[in-house]
Order: sequence, then C-alpha cells, then structure tokens
Amino acid sequence: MSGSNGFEPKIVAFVCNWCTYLGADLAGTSRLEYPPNVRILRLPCTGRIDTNLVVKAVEGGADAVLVSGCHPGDCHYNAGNYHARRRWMLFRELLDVLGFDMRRIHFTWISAAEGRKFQHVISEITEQTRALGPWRAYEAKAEIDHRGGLVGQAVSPATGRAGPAPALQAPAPLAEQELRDLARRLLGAGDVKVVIGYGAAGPVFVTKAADVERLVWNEGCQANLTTYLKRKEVRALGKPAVVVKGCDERSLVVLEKESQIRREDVRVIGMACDGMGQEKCAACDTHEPRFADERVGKAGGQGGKPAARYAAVEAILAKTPEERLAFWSAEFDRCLKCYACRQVCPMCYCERCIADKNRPQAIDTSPHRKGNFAWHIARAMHLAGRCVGCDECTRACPAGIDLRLLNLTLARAAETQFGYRAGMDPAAEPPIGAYSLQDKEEFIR
Amino acid sequence: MSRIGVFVCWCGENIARTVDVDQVAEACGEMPGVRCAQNYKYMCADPGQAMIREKIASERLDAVVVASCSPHMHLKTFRRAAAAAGLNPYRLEMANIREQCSWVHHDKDRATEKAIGIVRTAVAKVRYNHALSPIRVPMTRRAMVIGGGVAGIQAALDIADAGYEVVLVEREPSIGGKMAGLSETFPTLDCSQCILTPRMVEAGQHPRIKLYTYSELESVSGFVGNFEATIRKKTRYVDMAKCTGCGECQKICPLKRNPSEFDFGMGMRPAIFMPFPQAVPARPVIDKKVCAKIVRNGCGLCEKKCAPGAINFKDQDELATERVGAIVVATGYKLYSIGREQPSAKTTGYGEYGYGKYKDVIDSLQFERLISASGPTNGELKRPSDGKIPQSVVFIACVGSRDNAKGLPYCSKICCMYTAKHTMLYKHKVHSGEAHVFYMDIRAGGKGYDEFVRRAIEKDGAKYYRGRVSKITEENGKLIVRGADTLAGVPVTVETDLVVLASAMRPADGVERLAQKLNIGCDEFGFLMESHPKLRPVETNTAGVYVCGACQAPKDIPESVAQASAAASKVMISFSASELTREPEIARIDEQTCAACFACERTCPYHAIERVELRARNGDLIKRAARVNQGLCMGCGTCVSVCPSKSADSEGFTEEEVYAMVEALA
Amino acid sequence: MNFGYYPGCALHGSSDDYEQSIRACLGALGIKLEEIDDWICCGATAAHSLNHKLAIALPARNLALAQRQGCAEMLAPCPMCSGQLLRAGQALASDAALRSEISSIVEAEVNDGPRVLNIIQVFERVGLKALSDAVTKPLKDLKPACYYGCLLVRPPAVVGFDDAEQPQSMEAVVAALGAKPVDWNYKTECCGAGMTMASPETVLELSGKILANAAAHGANCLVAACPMCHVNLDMKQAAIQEYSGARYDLPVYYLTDVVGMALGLSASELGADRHFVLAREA
Repeated sequence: MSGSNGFEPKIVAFVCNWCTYLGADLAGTSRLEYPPNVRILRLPCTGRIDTNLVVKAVEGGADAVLVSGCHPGDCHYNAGNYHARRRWMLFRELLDVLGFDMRRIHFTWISAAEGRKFQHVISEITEQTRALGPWRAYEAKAEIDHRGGLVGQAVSPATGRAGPAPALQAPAPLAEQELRDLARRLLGAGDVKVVIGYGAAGPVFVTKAADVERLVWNEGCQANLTTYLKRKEVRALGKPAVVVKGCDERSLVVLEKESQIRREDVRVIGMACDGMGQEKCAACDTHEPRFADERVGKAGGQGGKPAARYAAVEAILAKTPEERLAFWSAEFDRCLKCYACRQVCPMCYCERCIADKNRPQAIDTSPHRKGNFAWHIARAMHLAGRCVGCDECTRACPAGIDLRLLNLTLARAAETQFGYRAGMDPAAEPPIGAYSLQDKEEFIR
Repeated sequence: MSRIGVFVCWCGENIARTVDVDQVAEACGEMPGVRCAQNYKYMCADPGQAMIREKIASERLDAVVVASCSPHMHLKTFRRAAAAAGLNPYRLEMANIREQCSWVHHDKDRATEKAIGIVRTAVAKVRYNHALSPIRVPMTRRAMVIGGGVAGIQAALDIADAGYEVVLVEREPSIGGKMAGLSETFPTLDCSQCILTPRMVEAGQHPRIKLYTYSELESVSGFVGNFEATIRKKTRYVDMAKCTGCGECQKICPLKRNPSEFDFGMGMRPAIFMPFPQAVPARPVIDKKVCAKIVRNGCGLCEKKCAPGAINFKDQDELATERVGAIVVATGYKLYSIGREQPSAKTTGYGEYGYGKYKDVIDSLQFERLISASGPTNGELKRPSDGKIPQSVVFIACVGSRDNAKGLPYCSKICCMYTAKHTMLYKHKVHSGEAHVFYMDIRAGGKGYDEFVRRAIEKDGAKYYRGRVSKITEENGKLIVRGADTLAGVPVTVETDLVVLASAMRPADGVERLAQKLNIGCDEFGFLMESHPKLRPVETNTAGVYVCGACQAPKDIPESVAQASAAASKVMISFSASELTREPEIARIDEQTCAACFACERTCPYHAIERVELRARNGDLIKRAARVNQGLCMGCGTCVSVCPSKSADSEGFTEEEVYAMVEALA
Repeated sequence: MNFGYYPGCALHGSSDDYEQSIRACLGALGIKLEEIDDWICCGATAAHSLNHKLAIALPARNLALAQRQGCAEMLAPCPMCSGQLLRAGQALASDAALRSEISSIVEAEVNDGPRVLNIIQVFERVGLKALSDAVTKPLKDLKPACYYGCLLVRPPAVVGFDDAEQPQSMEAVVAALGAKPVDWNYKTECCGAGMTMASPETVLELSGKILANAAAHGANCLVAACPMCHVNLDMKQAAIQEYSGARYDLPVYYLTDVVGMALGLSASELGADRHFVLAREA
C-alpha cells in the first residue's frame, strides 16, 4: 500500500458528529475501502471547529487537513455550518496570503448518506497529498529581509517601510488652539473628567483645565487613542473625552457594537486630518470624523485613493506561495512574543488572552516559528471583520513585522465577500456572528 | 496520573479479522495514564460489559475507553455499563475501530497501526473528560396556547384533559376562529358550528382552561419550563363578571350598521356586539371606533339598559402575567388580499378581478358566510349588490396561490376542496343555478377527497374549466368572466351573477411580531418554522415553543386538529416530570474571563446566551458577562469558535479534550 | 432632455398624424428627438411568422444604429415596434452565440443597445408633476377612456411595463392634465388590429365593443397610444356605427394630442384636425 517513495501522508479530518461522521460510518457499514491515512476527529458541529485547531493539526505534522460537515440546510444545529462556512472564507484568504499550501486544506459537505462521497474524498486527498509530498509548512527558508520589503517594492524613507507615503501637510495650528479651548471648556464645565489626547511625547491624560496646553495637534499624532478607553486606570479617572481622527473613530463604532463602551459615556473629539504620513493615509477616506460629538478643524480635501486600500495585499498575492511563506517566515522569525501588538490594539480587550490560556495551550508561548505563526493567525482571525486598520500593531512592533498586511488581508476579504468595513456603518452587521445563505462556497466540495 | 481502562473489542471477526487486537491492547497498555488494557470477543455483550464493570471496580478505574464500533452505535450502552459500576458515564469514550478502521481497510499492519492511533486519541481525550450530571431545569407544568381557533381549542383541551392548566389567549372577542364562520365542511358536509361549538363550550367551561379573549400576547421572557408571559387584555368596556350575556345592549344600540368582522363585511353588527350568537365567552364588546358614547360622549343607551350594570366606559387595557412551561402557537391564517394592496412588492395582486370594485366579486370566506345558516342572510344565498339569488356563480381557484408572477408560489392546499364544496352547497340551494369553476389542477389527496370532487362534478353538475381567468368586468348588472379552457383550447366567457375567489392562505396578521417575541422563525411568507419538517414537525427551534395549525403551513381542519393534538402531546411529554432533564454536553462560559463582547450571543442558533451582570455583595457592578441558558443550549459549540478568549467551552468536547486529541495525532 | 427616435413605418405612412402630434407635443416640452439614421422596418408581425432570426436581425440592426448614434434611451411610439425592439434586445442579451451570429448578419456590433421607451414612459421621464406644472389649458371637461390595446403592456415579460390586465399609467398622465379618465373594462382588449384587411367584420365587432364600453362608462373620447388601434377606432368608427347601428361619435386622440392640447397647442398643430371623428365643439 505504500507509495513509490515510501511516503505515507497523514491526513487529519475534523468532522461534525451528525453528518460527516455518520457518512464515514456508512462508508464502514458499506465496506467502502479507502486509504488508512486519515484520522477522524469528531466534534459536535462544524460550528465548533475552530480555526486554531486546524493550525494545531498542521503544527502537529498533518500533511493535509479536511474539515467537513453537513450540507447547507442540513445542520443538526440549524446554522452551525453556515457560521463555519463564513469563518472558512476568511481563514482561507489569510492562509493564502501567508503562503500556506492551499492544496492541502480541504473543505467538504458530506452527509450521513454519502458514504461513497466520504470514500472518494479521502482517497483523492490521500493520493493528491502523496503526490505533493510531506508538508513542510514551517521549514521554509526565511530569505527576504524585511527592510527590503516585498521584492520589487520601493522603501519609503519616511517610514522605513514598503509602500508610498502621502505628502505631509502640517496640521493647522489653529486646530491645535481650537482643541485646547474645547478641552478647557469640557473640563471646566465638568462635562468630562479626563481628556485623552496627544502630547508632545506620547499620549496625555489631561484632567485639569489648566493643563490643556499639554495637548498638541501636529503631524506626529499617529496613535489611536481609543485603546486607552479599555485601561482600568484610565477608566478610574471618570468620564473621558478622547481625541480621535476619522480613522480612529471607527474603532469606537466597533467597541460600541461589542458592548465595550457605551457611546454616551465617552465624549468624542474628532479631528479633521489630512494624513499623518502613514501607509494607511494613502488610501484614507475618513479625513473628516463622522460620529464625533465635537469636531475640530477641516480637512484640506486631498482624499486618499480608496482603490489603493488593499494594494499591499494584492502585491503580496502576486508572489508565489513559496515566496509568500518565505517572506512571512522571515517576518515571524523576528517575533519576540512581546505582545506589544496586542497591548496597543483597541480591539484586544480580552481579560485573559487566548495566548495566556494554558489549559489547553492552543498557542505556544515561546517565540519559535510555529508558535509565532499560530499567534499571528489567531490574532488576525480575532480581528477579522473587526480591525479598523489603525495600524497601531505595526507601529508598536519592535521587530518591525508587517502586521498590517495580515489585518488588511482579512479587511479585504470582509469587504469583497460581505461588503463590510469595520467601524464604517454602525448599523451594518459584522461578518462574524452572522451568515447568509448566499455565502460563496465554491471552495467547498 | 489517571487510571484509564482500555477495552478492545473483536466484534467477533469484524474487527479482529483486519486489526490485530492483541497488538492494539498491548500498545494501549503503554499509553500514559492507562492502567489496564484488555480485549474481548464481544464487548457489547453481557460478559464484555461485565468485564468493564469488574475492571472499573477492581482497578479503581477513573476513565474508560472502549475501542469497538461507532459511538452512534453503542456509546449509550457502554456509558450505562460504566454508570452501573459507579463511574461517571461521561468519563467513558469510544474509539471507533470498526466502521472507521477494520471495515474500510484490508492491510492488517496499517489497519492495526491506525487502530492504535484512534485509541490513542480517545485515551488522550478521556483524561480530560469532565464528570457530568444531567441538567435539570424546573418545569412549570402549565401551558399557554396562543390562538383560539380549532387548532388552539384542540390543543388546549387535550392538555387540560391530561390534568394540566392551560392559558388560552385569543385576540378576537370570542374563541372559534375561522372555523366558527364556515357553513359546512368537506368532505362530509357536516355543519361546522355543530361540531365546533360544543368544543368551544367545553374549552370555555373547562376547570383547567383559563380563557383570555380579546387579548394579545404582549411579551414573553424566560425559557422552556419557565416562561413568563405578559398578556394585554384589550379594553372591552363590558365587565365580564357582571354581564349575563342577555343581549339587551345589542338590541338597544342605535348604531347597528357596522360591517361585521365575523361576517367578513357581508353582514352588519351594532357598536356593542357579540361576534356571533354562540360566542364563547357569551359576552359583548364595544367597538370603540364606532360607539357614540366613546367617540363623542353621546348615546350611552346600553349603559342605561344594562340591568346588571356591566357596561363600563372607563374600562382600560389591562396587563396580566402568566407563568407557563410550554407555549403552543396556533394563530391560524388569513386570506391573501386580492386587490391592489399587497403584502410585498413581490405580489402584484389581481386588480383585473375587480375585488373591492364589484360588490359581487367576493372571496371564499365571504361566500361561507353568505351560505351559512347562521350568516347574515340566514343561509339564503343572496348576492351582495342587490340581494338577488344568483342564477350562476363562477368560482376561481388558485387566486394568489401557485403564481410566481403575481401571487405566492405555494399551493394553499384546501381551495380545491372547499371550492368543490361551494359548488355543491350552491347547487343544493339553487337547484337551477349554474356553478362554473376555473381551476389549474385538482389537488384532492385525502380520505374521501377525490370522491368528493367527483361528486361535485358528476352528481351536482358543476362545470369545471381547466384554465385561468384573465379578467372580470361588469356590464348591466352582470359580471363578465373571461378565461380559457385549456383542455378544449378555447377562450371562455361566462356571464354570471356572482364570482367567488378562492384566494391563497397566508399567515394571520402580526405573526412576524409574535415570532420575534417567541424567538421562533418564519419562512419568507411568514409561516412559522417547524424544527424539522419530518421528524420534529410541531417543535420549533426554541425549546418549549410548539406550533400547530395553519400558522405553520396551509392546512385543512383534520390536519390542523391532528397537529394540535401532536403539539399537545409534546407539551404533555415535557410535563411528565417536574423537572426537565437535559443532556449535560452543552456549552458553558467562564464568567471570570469573559470579556462581554457577546460574539457568542450573535452566533448562537438557539438564543441560549444571556447577558448577566456580576455584582459585588454591596451591589456594585463588577463586570458584565455572557451566560449559557442550560435550558436552551443544544451543545453545538459554535460559541466556542467565535469566543476570542475561549471563555466559552463545550462540555463533552472541551478545548482541553479536543487539543489533547489533536496533539495525540502528532 | 433628448431621446433617440425610432418612428417605424406606420408613423411615416398611414399614421403620420401621430408623428406630427409627437413632434409638436414633445417639442413643446423642450424634448429633442434624434431620429435614428437609416432605420429600417422592425419586422412587425411579418418577420417572426416567417423566420425567427429575421425577427431578431431587423430590430437588432436598428438597435445597433441607435447605439452607434450614441443614444441611451430611444422612443419607439408604435407598441409593435417597441415590442420587437425589446424582444430582440433581450434575446441578444441572454444568448452570446446568437449575439455574435446576428452581429455578423447585420454587420454591426450589437450589444445592449439603448433603452427602448414607449410614449407613456417618455412622459414619466418628464415627470407627472413637471407635466402638470406645464399645463396651460387644463382639460377639465375631458373624460377619456384610456385605451392601451394589446401590445403596450404585453407580453409582461418583454415590455416589463405597468400591469398587463389593469394598467393605470396612461390614466395617471391624463389626470395630470386635469382630465378625468373613466374606469372602464376594455383598456387592453384587442381592436382587431391587422384583421382590418383580412376580415373587416372582426375589426368592426371588436373595435365596436371597445367603443360601446367606453361610451357606456361615460367617456367623451378615447386616448390611444398605438397607430394601428387609432386607425381601427377612428377611421373605422363610421363603419362600426353603420355595422352595429349604435352611434358613438367618440373622438380618438393620441396621448400626445391630449398632452399637446393641455400645453396649449392647437388641433392643427398636433394634426388632430386630420382625424376622422372630430371633436364636437363644446
């Protein structure tokens, strides 16, 4: 039964209890032979099959992974498979950008009556994987230096990063004065207890009207200050006003949707902004704040080019999967697991991060390649349909890992597949947690 | 270290032929945590089970893996055996080395290797399996039935007769529903009121049925076994306790010419009225939109006339709360609106039939009232425009049904039958009259149904044309019906006196709102969704809520009654113990680590996630968190996947168990 | 506002009064019509009874010409023409093979072509409110029976316009002019159409019913939008009256006649003085 090269692939199949598991049972009762390379793991529903599990199986040396459940409309739990399908749509785009071999990740609907289909699927996957050889996902040569960015792309002297930076426009000094006056008024009237704003060197938390001169508004105001709203010590100061740019403001929309803030508990000071010289500014379409309680200044009007929003994703997709995997291996090899990306992210507000959960240890904590991939995949998936693209993770990363590219990948997927952009429309339904019967499933056999 | 026992089954030759069971048992003995590993010819047979029980006791096993067939085959068997030996049954796992190994592979070495791998994952998992106990949810053994038509009455009576209290809520002033207004019923032509009114009286007088008429469900909270329903009792202006139902008020009311809802506008009623003489309860209501006393503080004659002093113009809506354990929805149907006003942009209606424009174009329920002995004409068929006896009637079937272009795509199921009935009833009243029927197909599946239609055609001489009507116009007091006879291949024009449109059945008004209150689903037409079309036809996806009758799909009286009894029996099953026992393999949420993003709430197919506020002893809010309602959760685990911090977990398939399995594959 | 204009054969022949009416009326509304250069017959009833491809190719050529001329929307006042143009457009849009075959037959690239409009749709583009505002002579005394005939609203899958059995759009236009359209039964019944040659009695019978029903419902005129219908109801009215013995004397106007009159144009400007049944002076 061994292949000519003696290689026997290991196939891990995550299947739902009610359809595919029973389909596999039927293959058995019908004595339909298939190669013994598959190990079947039974879970209640495809809805339960977390993407972290798939990653874990690959880490463990699976040469191919199959995820299989009930056909649409047949789910024992009504909709578990629809929710799963949605996650797979996003997950696949992420893995693809990472350069994982997509020929080894399979999705099928196999019903309890489809013993024969189960047999065919397993036989085909086994043969196909045998031909592909062992999956050395974590053994890629890390050969692309990050300073060089993606091959063929210019490096911006302003950021030291790939991609064009828009021309800087010094924000009007008038706006700075207006901001200070506003802060003075708010603090003086007792409307708010603290103004979270930009200072000369990092964020400032102004609690007294006399201190408003500490607030600045200049081309260095890159940070997304909404992240401080989740901090206990900031919460202890009392009702905050937070200074946001049009882009930062989007995170407030998400946080409110996720019950993390109540809009009426935060005074929002929106700054018109022509860009802070970051990569994201090139494609900015939120120069003016839209939901802020107070607005300061007026944007100059040179809008970014939204068409360029996902140019970086398209650039990396133009590379071969091998090149992509090599690139990311180089990137992630530098990851220290310092979790600065997590700390700075306004959306990472869990009290106990999955990375800190050790029963079970879904994500290895020591900084090696497998664990680093697992962490960045999990982080990207957690931000799917939630990340507003503030790029604070990239800014905070001491190793200079191009984290925005991962978030951008899933933002692009959410927009192209579901027409959703996080934080743009408070009324829109986030893609995770919802589903549509029309969700695309051309990748599911 | 665990003390795991592994029991490898030969299944006679079924496993042992392809898998070296000795080798498997030997390998299992080496696995971490395994105390003993044995094999036996038939694990599921009594000696095999006895071996497991004996080893649990002698080796003080704290977990067991049985390597044999599919868990769908024998998991329950082995878990019972383990429980009998004092081991928590959820500490037993199965490794499927038959269906998924020995039966599908031939190479004995590789099959054996695979079998060992399969057992290894099960051993890895079972180490983490939690000891679980069945979940018990207290059950309020009291039901609420929403809708007092024939289905609701049947369900209420069945449940009440079984010894449980029932709250029956009906939004009209009387129970009885659509059936109370029908003349005679197919296929037996027995009088609708003769069979229904005794049931109405029975429901009205039943010691265990509490009737809320002229009332609507305001809201529902809670979950299976523990619902709290708020019911709005609409202002009746009549004190139900004082009123004797004598009817003097109706006689004296000067405002007698208001279209009767019960007669679908074919008859008139006073401003204070009982919808029909046999109403249950036999108490009138005052139409506040019409009554002169209420509209302009005039009249008041009824108040003066009422000897018991039951009229109360100061009456107000009241809210009542009822605690119930199960809810049956039986809200029935209404007819598709035939004219231009349409429920959705998808349906354009049938303006060309002139319904609402020509008085003598009526719908089927209006026709029922016109030929009913209790109807506005006392059963004498007189057409609405001039009271003449129609010498010819055209019946048009499928108005709105099975019409993707203008109406609704589904078949309304009962129209073929009642149209045949209408032709008979008409011919029995007007012997010389001509009954013409335009139909698409005759669908008369059912006991005695096709015979009934044949009788209408062959014995009573109804003229059937297979074809549609394109247009109805009125000329000189006659209706001109133009259509096609597609069997003869000719256009047909019939000059007639009355046209009856068998319009489609739609769910009753407001059903979408009701469905939202109850957390149950509707299909695109508003019919309530059953949990499974074949195996769970009266359950819904919300535990404890059941459906029956035409609110679920178009159906006739026998079917509605059968379904009502089915729903009632489901309710009675759930009432058979004071606690509801549920499988414990469901989700739980660690409230300490929950970040209260409520992604699980958005995702849960069963609305089983609740928001809770954790408070300190002094009442200060510590945090918000999600909590799983154990009465509702079905254990799919979808919440686990969307939980970013994995504070959600699913018993039976916990993160620890599942990762242990994946890691055991490495 | 500009529209492409496909007159069709009738409007350059027996019904040139309709063309005069259209040009006068739409001109008064400031609408420019750009006649399709070198247009040919739409195929009418003849083509599709002979050859399916011919019935597509003839209108397809007209669509291609219109497209080359750059018009986005094109008025085809005759319902027969607009129906044929629409039908061809839909056939081409749904069948790529047919499209390439027809393109080679007519020696022009045929794509979607312009959107084909009937005369009522042109007034809808103007807007009923704007139309009503432009009225200088409200037609208070006019009680028209709006007559759609067979093809203006049928087949619904092709024309996709109004309701096939109970249309209301023409009533909405004349009501905007201050007229009081009557509710009657024969709006979409056949006038007899081309049977006027082969079987004149058929036309006398069918068109007679239409006139009788309009009169019975209190109409003092008919409004039509089809040149063929107009011929049967207007030119044949004397014969109908002779045939049935009833007297109607109902003037039959084109929709553009009544719009034009409400805009202050005279009957001679509109060509309405060339009709056979003339309005009795009030």
